[in-house]
This record gives sequence, structure tokens and C-alpha cells, in this order.
Amino acid sequence: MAEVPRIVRERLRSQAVGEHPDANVLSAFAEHVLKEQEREQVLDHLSRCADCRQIAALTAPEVTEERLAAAARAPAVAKQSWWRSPILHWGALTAAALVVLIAVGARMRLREGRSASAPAIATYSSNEVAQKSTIPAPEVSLPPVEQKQSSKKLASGPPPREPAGSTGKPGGVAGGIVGGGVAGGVGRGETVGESVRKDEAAFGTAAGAGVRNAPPPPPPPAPVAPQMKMQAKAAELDSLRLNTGIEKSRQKATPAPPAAASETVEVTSAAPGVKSEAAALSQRRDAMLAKRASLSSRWSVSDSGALQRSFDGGRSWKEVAVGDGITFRAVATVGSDVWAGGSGATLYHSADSAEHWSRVSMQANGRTPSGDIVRIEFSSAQDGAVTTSTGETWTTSDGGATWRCQ
Amino acid sequence: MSGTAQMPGPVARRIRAGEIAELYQRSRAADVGFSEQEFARILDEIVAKYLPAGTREGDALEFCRGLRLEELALARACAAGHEHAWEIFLTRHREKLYDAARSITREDVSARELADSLYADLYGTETRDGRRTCKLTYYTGRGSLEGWLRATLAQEYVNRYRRRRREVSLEEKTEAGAQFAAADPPVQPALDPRLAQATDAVLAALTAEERFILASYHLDGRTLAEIARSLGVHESTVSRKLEKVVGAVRTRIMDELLRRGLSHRQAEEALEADVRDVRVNVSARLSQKDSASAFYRKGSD
Repeated sequence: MAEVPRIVRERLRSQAVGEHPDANVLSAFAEHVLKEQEREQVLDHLSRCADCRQIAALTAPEVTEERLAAAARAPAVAKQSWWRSPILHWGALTAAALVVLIAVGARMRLREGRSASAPAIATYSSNEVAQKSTIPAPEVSLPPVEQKQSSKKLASGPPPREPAGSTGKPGGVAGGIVGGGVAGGVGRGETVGESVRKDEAAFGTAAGAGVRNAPPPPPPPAPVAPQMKMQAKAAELDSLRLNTGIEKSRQKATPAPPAAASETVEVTSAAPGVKSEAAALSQRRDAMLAKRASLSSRWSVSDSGALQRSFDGGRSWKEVAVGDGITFRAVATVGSDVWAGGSGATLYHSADSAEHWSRVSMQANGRTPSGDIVRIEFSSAQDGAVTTSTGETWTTSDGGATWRCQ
Repeated sequence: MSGTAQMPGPVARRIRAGEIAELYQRSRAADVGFSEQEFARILDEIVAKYLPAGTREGDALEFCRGLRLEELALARACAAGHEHAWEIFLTRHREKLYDAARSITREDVSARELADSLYADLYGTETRDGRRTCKLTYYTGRGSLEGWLRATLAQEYVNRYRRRRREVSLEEKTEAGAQFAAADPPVQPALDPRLAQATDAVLAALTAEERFILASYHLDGRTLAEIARSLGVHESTVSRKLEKVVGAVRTRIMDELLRRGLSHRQAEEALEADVRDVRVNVSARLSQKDSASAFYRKGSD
């Protein structure tokens, strides 16, 4: 921190002190329950009186172990590890993006080469499955797993256009690169906890494994600008991940595909399972992103009473719009749960790291809290206490569903 | 239980009887032996102390609702010698008082001594006009009772330290100097008086909070975390504000000096002259301009 000129310290010290606030006012100041005007007066006195500053500091509530634990969970600005420096952080993200782009490019080249030898290739998008039911069996190119199953049962039908090895190998190579790239990029680039890294890695590996077994990709699109091409590939990558679910559900739901003609019907009947699998994957990804956001973000309330959040350990803050015309005075987080309260005893809660907010109704025996919410403390997602400027303490042990006033 | 119709105090003038009854009920003052009328008198005294004469009814009611009514009734009942109230007080606050004393003194023996002396004051060993005076009478419910006890302990601790200051050795002073407000050697009188004037003008233009942060960090040597705890904001907020204020103060003083007729070079020299020799004078660091007795206003705590 930069040093101030000595004259500033000297003049600060030599200001007229005036009447000292009594212990009642100092304790109210330390507990942050003074009204704005009175708080300003006390601050003005404290800025001039070293003794009262000393007393106010000693009067401030002790830092409890619970608060220390909460502070330890949030990354401190001054104690950031060297590998969390912005340069390395963004560098890792850029590297991950490059790996993904290279993988997509390699996949494109492989597919272009393959499409030249296989002009008619069916897609496995769940939306198009019903339409494909009219495609004659010989033109359907199956993924390796299914080809093994169907090769015996389709003995009477015409053989597939390409050998199993020729379709499986290129898909496997491309899938392996994409899966590894995604998992590595997230693990190194983001400031997430170890457990999340494991989750991400598992997710990436699963996706990679899935893509290895994935069906051949759709035919290459019409020539477009390179950037648009990349975007289209990214979307395609997502659809391939979903197809991973499709493949798994298909393998589970189709123990014995009977004949070539009925094969496409089986795919259609598996569609609900496919959707639920895809939805589960999507939910898992959302939950993981929410967990990552909750671990890497910090919350505070601005001077003007706006809720704000930082993703870079407090170096920059961005306001989060919650409610209308509410002056926030306190915020607390437990995992992905965020609680924010302020004027008019208004309390908001988000269970998904501020993706969605809901206003919490606090009532006990027909009574509602009075004043402003000035302190929020949650020891778990279920147990917490809210203190108002009128000195009321409201507690909940069921995540805010019911409240008790003390 | 007596009625509230004839109450003459400011509370009765500004707050309706039904609302006083609600405050009385919330305070549970009946449990510790107070009638509604007696409790209204206590509120009268507090309202008269903190609110100006022309305060509107709504503001007075909001102020009273913001008080720690239950703890106020408990403290006043203890001061009045109510046995049951003392039992409740000791159960709730005895351990906390010792813990608070320990957190202030950072040492067990001194902590016990400090807490015991406050206990004596709370119980009321001193007599005034033949009557026992109890320190709990001064509690007004603005903050929590626990916070008030901590503030009272802190005041007593600082007062003791100041009283003892002249009796301790230089080594002890040096050792203790790290804990208290630091004072730099006075600015040399040879400096241009316009520098002090410009600095005063710039400091006066800062907000109270900015001056508080500057003083806490640069005079008292408090950490960002300690200042943040005092202000109830995040440590990063204090860091950001401090950095901004320090930069702004220097620039504004330069501007003020230029406006007062100094050349740019003179202004820079005037500002830099005083930062070259930051000497640490232990005696000056421990000195305090105001007497310790200033904490306790006459007739108050």
C-alpha cells in the first residue's frame, strides 16, 4: 500500500476531537446497527480520535472459528497462489481453447477424407431419428458397437458399406483428442476445487470415451467462413456429447436388435430414454458449472447497497441485479447457496450461485421482521440466522422454509 | 400493571399508548418486575438522551423499536437489584465477559482483573449521595448488551493503560507501543504553512469514512481486515478505497498548493520534504492529546 505524506498523518492527528460517543453508541457502531446519519457522525469522530478508534476496534465482535472457516473458503486477495495469477489463468484458458480448436480441425479433416469415400452417411440426431426410419437398412452406417451386434443378426441383409474398423478408428482418434482437450483445459484453467476438477475430468473422460464409440459424424456442411465453421463444429461437439447418451441408452435399451428392417424402429422407441439421459447429462453439467461458480466467486455489498460479485478474487466486482429498489446490507454464501438481505427486511435466496433468485418470506406466528437486514450467517445450507437493524434475530433450520424469531 | 394515559415524558408525547404497550410486551419487562409505566419512563430517558426535541412520532417509534428492549429491561432490572434479573444476567453474560476481557488483554491474569473490576462496577459498589450506583443503568439498548459490555471493558482497559503510562519503564512502553496509536514526529516548523493549509482543506473534503480508513491504516497501523471488520464491509472494499484515497490525497494537495501560488516544483518539494525522514519517536507514539477521563461524560458512562 502506498505511503501517505507525513503532513497528512500529522494533520489527521491534529484535528479537533469534540465530544466522545458513549459505550452504547460505540457498541451500536461496532455492530453496524446505527442509522446512516449517526454512523457518519461517529465515523467523523473516530477519524479524529485515536482512543475511540482503539475502543471501537476492541469492541468489534471477535472473529469466530465459523467465520474464519468461511473466510478460508473464499480465496484471499493477498494470499493468492502464484498459479492463480491472471496471466497464467488466462494463458491456461487460451491454451485449452487452442487444443479444442486443433482437435476440431483434425476431426474436420478426418471427416472430409471419410466423406469422400462414404457419400451417404446417416445422422443420429434424436430429432431426425423418426425421419431416418424410412432410410433403407444398407445405407445406414452404424457405430462400431452396434455393428458388432447387428453383424450377426443382419446376416441375411446386405453387408455394411464400410468395414467396422474403418469407421471406428477415425471416430476414436478425434473423440480422444476432444475429450482430453476439454478435460485438461477446465482442470488447469479454472480456479475450482479439487473435487470439481475430478468431476470435470470424469465428465471429460466420459465424453471422450463416448465420442470414441460415437457414430460417424454428419456430412460436411457447405463451405462457410472459417470462424463460422468453428462455431458450427463446437455446436456439433455438443450434439456429439448428447449422442454419447444416445448410444449408451441405445445399448441398454436394445438387448437384441432383431432384423434390419426393425432396427430404425428400435432407435425411435429409445428416444424417450435418450432424452432423459441427455437431460441428466445437461443437469449434471449445469450443477457442475454452478458449483464451480460458487467456489470461484466472492460476494459483497457496494457502498450504494448493490449486490456485487467478483470472479477474480476481489480485484474487480460486477453488480448483480436482484430485486427492485432494495438497498442490500448483508450477503452470505454456503456452497452454491447465496443469501442477500437489506432494506425493508427483504431477503433473497439463490440455490444455484445466483442463476435464479427467489424472495424469501420470513414469518413466525404471523409476525414479520422489522427494520433492515444487517447480518446474515449460515453455517450450512439449512441452518442460518438473520439479524435486523431492530435487533431481531431470525433463525431457520430448513433452508429458509420456516423461521423463528428470537 | 399501571396504565399509560398520564405519562408526561417525551415517549408519551410522541408515541401512542398502544404502541408503548407493544414495546413493553416485546421487552418482557414484566418478567423482571417492571410495570409498563416504569418501562415507559426508561424509554423517556433514552429518547431524551438521543433524539432532538422536535422528533416526529414515527421516528421516535422506529428508534424505540430499534432498541434492544429485552436486554434493556434486563440491565435496568439488574441495576434496580432484581434477583431474578441478576441470575439471568450472570447465566448469559458471565463467561462472555471474561472471554471479552481475554480477547482485549490477550492475557489471563489481566483479563480476570479487568473483568472483575467491571463486575464490581456493574454490581454497584460506589455510592453517590448515599445510593448505590450501578453501571448497568447507563446501558440504553442501542447495541447488544454483550457489545456494550465489551465497549465498557475496552474503555476501562484503555483508561487504565493511559493512567499507568507514566509509571512504566521505557522498555514496556516500547513493547506496548506496537499496540496503540502511532504518532509521527511533528512536522518541522520551517515547512511552508501553505502545505498544512492545503492538507487541511483536502482532508476536510474527504468523507468521514475515508478519513477513518486513512487514520486507522496510517496512524494506528491496523490491518485491512481489522478496518473491514469495524466498517462491516469486505476487506477488498477497504483496500480499494484506501488505495483510491491515498492517490487522491496526494494529487489534491498538489493542486491545492499550486492554487495557493506554489510552483509545481515547489509543491513537489514541499510534499516530499516531509516523507524523507520518518523517524519513530516512541514517546510521541504513546502520547495522547486528550485526557483519558474524556470517555466518560459527566453523569453518563
